[in-house]
Amino acid sequence: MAYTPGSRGGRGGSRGGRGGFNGGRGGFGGGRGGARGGGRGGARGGRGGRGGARGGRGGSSGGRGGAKGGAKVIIEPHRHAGVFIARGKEDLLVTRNLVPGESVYNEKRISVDSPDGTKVEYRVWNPFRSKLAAGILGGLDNIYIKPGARVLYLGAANGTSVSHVADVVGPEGLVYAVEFSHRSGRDLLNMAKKRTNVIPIVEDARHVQKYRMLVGMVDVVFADVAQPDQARIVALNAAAFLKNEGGVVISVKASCIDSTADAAVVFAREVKKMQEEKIKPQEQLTLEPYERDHCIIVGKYLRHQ
Amino acid sequence: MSSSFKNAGQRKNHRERAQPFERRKWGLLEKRKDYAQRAQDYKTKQKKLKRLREKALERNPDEFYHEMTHKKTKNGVPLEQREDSTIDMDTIKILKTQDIGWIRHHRNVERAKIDHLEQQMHTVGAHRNKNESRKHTIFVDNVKEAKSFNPAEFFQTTDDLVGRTENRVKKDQIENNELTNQPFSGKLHSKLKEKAATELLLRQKRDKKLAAAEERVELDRLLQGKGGRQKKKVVNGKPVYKWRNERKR
Repeated sequence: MAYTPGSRGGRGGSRGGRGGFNGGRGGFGGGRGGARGGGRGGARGGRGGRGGARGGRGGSSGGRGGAKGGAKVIIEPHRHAGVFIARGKEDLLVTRNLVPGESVYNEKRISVDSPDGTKVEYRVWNPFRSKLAAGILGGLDNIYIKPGARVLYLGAANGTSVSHVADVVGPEGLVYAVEFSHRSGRDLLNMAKKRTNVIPIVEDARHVQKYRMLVGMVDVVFADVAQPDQARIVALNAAAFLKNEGGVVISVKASCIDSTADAAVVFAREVKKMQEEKIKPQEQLTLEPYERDHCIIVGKYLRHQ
Repeated sequence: MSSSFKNAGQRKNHRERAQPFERRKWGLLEKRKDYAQRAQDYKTKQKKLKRLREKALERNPDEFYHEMTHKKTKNGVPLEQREDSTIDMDTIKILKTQDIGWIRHHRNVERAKIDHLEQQMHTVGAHRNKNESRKHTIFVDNVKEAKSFNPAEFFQTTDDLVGRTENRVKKDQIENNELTNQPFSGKLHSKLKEKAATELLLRQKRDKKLAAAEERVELDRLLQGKGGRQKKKVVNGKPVYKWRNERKR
């Protein structure tokens, strides 16, 4: 066997002694931060140890540190009530989980100790998957969705964003989630079983009269329907259910409305259509870098204009 | 004293001594077994060298084998005759296809990593391209309002928080001490974010390079194929070819 300097001995060597193969301090199998568990901070837990192969400080399955193993995270309240930012190794947009211990779409969950000693769970809201989250991180001034609000959500799809909106409005609020696709509607219904403040409606948003008996007056209409006539769809729903001076938040995908025109032109046209439908535009935000050629338009519905 | 009595009590655990701190530059403290291993290794190598020296001394310069007629040496080192290494076009095309496959695979891996990084970096604006910065438009009622527009006033926040798009906290939230002192808002936090942003930027560059490589290899493969073509122009240092329309019979 050829000689290799430093093949054993010392701390964390590979063959016995202090840090020996089967124990010792920092050895291959156990000990302080060993590779195979046992000791202080081995592979399967322990107290973090001194950096074994899989345990150790900030290891993936043992000890403190890292995003998974009980990292220190500070929850910072957001400008918009009901939304938070978890500041830690990464800054993440989160909402307080209405159903602790459960994920809706395999999203990451963060558990934090509140000052009164109870654990509070938050769910990470990914702006690359939700246009509303992208808008919030983009710096929208007012989204009208807040705790206790009643929201009409058009284009609910599988209910991933709806679940976060439900978290924001809380148990006092209500979310009417309208989705035409039956396949997506199945997931939406399953999500609504757990979140009692979500009322799923599997109907075409163009035919307001079909679900008029299910929906009460709402404070805000959020639309993500990606249809060429989406301004008309929003106007119909606003006329039927939105209170005077209620909020309208529309997500616009330029390519869905006119694939030939420039995105900025499409957005300007949509704003004009909104104005014709008694919606006074307040702000418009493009969603780079999260989405390309998308924007969110926020407005106020003036019923008696 | 009987051995059973001796074994009844717990024996002292004799631990091996480590290298003293002041002698750490000489590495680990060597024990007898380490020396033995090192010595054995040294002796083996010396024996081998000795045997080779003997062989060299005993070598007969007039020695002849018929094998020598079609073999060469250069400075005493035998030279291997290489076979004809020309590869036919079909094989080259196959190799090019495999190259494209490799590049595509690595691009997919790279894209997955980019997506993962982007999803971690919700609030990092460092990975925004210069040409696709977001645009926030505020609608006002008249020109007078537009001229006197003050972002800090509009967003009800302080001047230094206006640029912090991910969370422009309102003044009353600051006054009510709703914000906690974040332990991560210092140097460590910004360092970690910077590191992630840099990694993302580098990965995006690598993705671009791989895309260019894929394009180049694909073009090479097409140029080796059949069909008349003509080099039309060069755009951004890349040649543009036009193939002649030919009916497939």
